[in-house]
Amino acid sequence: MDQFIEEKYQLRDSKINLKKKKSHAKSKIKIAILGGSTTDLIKNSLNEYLAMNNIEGIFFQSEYNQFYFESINPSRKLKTFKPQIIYIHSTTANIEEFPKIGSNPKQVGKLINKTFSKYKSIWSTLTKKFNCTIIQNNFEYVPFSSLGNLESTKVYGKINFLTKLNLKFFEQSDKIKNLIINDINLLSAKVGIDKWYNDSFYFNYKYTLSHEAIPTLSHNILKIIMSIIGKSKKCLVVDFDNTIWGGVVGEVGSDNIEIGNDTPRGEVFLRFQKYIHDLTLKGVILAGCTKNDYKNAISGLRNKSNFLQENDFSVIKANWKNKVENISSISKQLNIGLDSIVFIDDSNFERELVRSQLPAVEVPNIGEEPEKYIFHLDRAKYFENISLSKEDFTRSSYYKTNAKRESEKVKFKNYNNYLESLKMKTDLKKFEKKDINRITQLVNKTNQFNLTVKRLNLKEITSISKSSDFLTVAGNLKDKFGDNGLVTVVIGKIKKQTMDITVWLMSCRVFNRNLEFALFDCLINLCKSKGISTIYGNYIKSEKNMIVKDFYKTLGFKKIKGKKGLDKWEFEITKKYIKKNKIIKINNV
Amino acid sequence: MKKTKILKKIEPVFHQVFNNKKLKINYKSSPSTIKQWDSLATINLFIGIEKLLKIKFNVSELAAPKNVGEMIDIIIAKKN
Repeated sequence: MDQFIEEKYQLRDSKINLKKKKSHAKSKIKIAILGGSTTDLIKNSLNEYLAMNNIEGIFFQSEYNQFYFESINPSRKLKTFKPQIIYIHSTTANIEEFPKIGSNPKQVGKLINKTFSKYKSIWSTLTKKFNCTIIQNNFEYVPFSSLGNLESTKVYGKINFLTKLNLKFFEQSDKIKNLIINDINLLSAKVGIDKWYNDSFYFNYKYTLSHEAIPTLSHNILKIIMSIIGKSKKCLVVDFDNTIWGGVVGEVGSDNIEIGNDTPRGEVFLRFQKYIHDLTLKGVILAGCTKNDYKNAISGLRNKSNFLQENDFSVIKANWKNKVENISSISKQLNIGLDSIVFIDDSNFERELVRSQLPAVEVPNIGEEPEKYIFHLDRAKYFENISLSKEDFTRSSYYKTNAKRESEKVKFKNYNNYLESLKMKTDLKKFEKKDINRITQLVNKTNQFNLTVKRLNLKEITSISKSSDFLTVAGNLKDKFGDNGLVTVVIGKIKKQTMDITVWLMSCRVFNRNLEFALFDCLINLCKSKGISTIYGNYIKSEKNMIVKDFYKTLGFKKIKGKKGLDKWEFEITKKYIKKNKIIKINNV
Repeated sequence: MKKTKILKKIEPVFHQVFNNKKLKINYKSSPSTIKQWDSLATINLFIGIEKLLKIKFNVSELAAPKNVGEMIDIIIAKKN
């Protein structure tokens, strides 16, 4: 239900649709829209997109063109609203002053700083007051250029001016972690600047973009929000024949598939492979799912003209089973949810089959023309990121080494022997500054091994890491196959002789490796050193965290309360505590 | 095209915008006779009519009409 549909703007049955969807909307999110122009239709369109993704949007809109004052001096209404996300819809129409034609660089520089500092103060005040994520438009180009091409080249040109401002916005967004830029300069270019603007709507109703462009804008905002709440897709599953190369390898042979620079179609598939490869570089996990003899599929991949190599894939399912079965097993093997998967296949039959049997999997209609595949995949923005960390760049290698671990596992009769053979090590440390980004990412993305599914933003985690009221532990896991990176996080709130565990989570990459036991041993030690005698554990039920429902029981906690999706558990620390982990070597406790 | 014919043709747009299939409109219908008719509804009505009749209203056309009758006059002028 996530596809970008052209002319998605359906004001007609929107109300009816929303009512229907509301009843099973799963999560709610509070969004304040502070506009430099009219925003009602943008709100409505965004609300529809959110509903399509089972998210209920709760909105606050500033008075018309009050984005600056509402930010600098928030109204009581906004304060009581307590936004989780603030979207600042300012556009080029909000530039109060452009350089005078003929101004010198110094004058222009001054004007840039003056304009920029207005936005900077908006961001810093909002961050201070609301501690939330800010989505900020950059500036779109002007539709008319009296200076012609000099509009770009001269320092006093409007496009020159806007470009410099946009660069400053980008730099700032790299510095301030909770500031995310919504690139309307790119969006308006995609729509076409002449179609982006609509004079009738601007002069009559003060919309700085046409109603045809609004879905493009709100879809982009949706994708940023999805990424903020950790609902971007994680894995791309591709078919092989006629999807990543032309022809059926089993019939034409690996030398005769269409890939590479020799033919137009070959080039089309090559471009698509390069695009997919870029996705893997930023952390998207790639899997293959093809109806082929395994031998044939691999020989196709080994054709030298391919850009994608065998080892770009974390899993390859090449067999004659149906794709529903194969995709389910990919999901199990990689330990990621079906709703994190995007499946692309040139065959409408396969797409329909997967769509009907596995509705959680996203199956875009990529059409029948190979040159359009990239377009359909790209514009749906499945894999939007609001930031990229070291972990993202190396993610695919974790999954590949995981596949090696899996194959090693069958060699051992006893699972414990297998675990021992991995020679695992962990560093369990309190939150350090350099890890804060990764910790935030984990807190907001982890769904399965997550006892409370409590989401916290970067600012909140930073302040927790500095507070003496909290006990924090972050841990990695290394083994003979490689480093899994930072994979587990615990936050406990200390109150006299007790500690309440508000966050305990672990990446699905390292399930069943005993890391949770090592961590608990470490917690006991830390508690003892702080004179804490009782630990409270919380389990808050969510869609996906059933796997840890009885986790505290496994550790020896007693249930003291259980109602309405919240279980409270208690653990008394005694001298007789016996260490639970005997397999993982712990460093730097 | 006749005024009555256009009125009939655009009535469904009003039904959709106001989410009321029983709503009857006439030439005198305006924000003062239909309670939920606010500025957002005006925009939605114009978008709906633009799409339905495949026309585009210019700045002054969009600014002018005070009621449905005047709206239809503009549509007729455009269509001719």
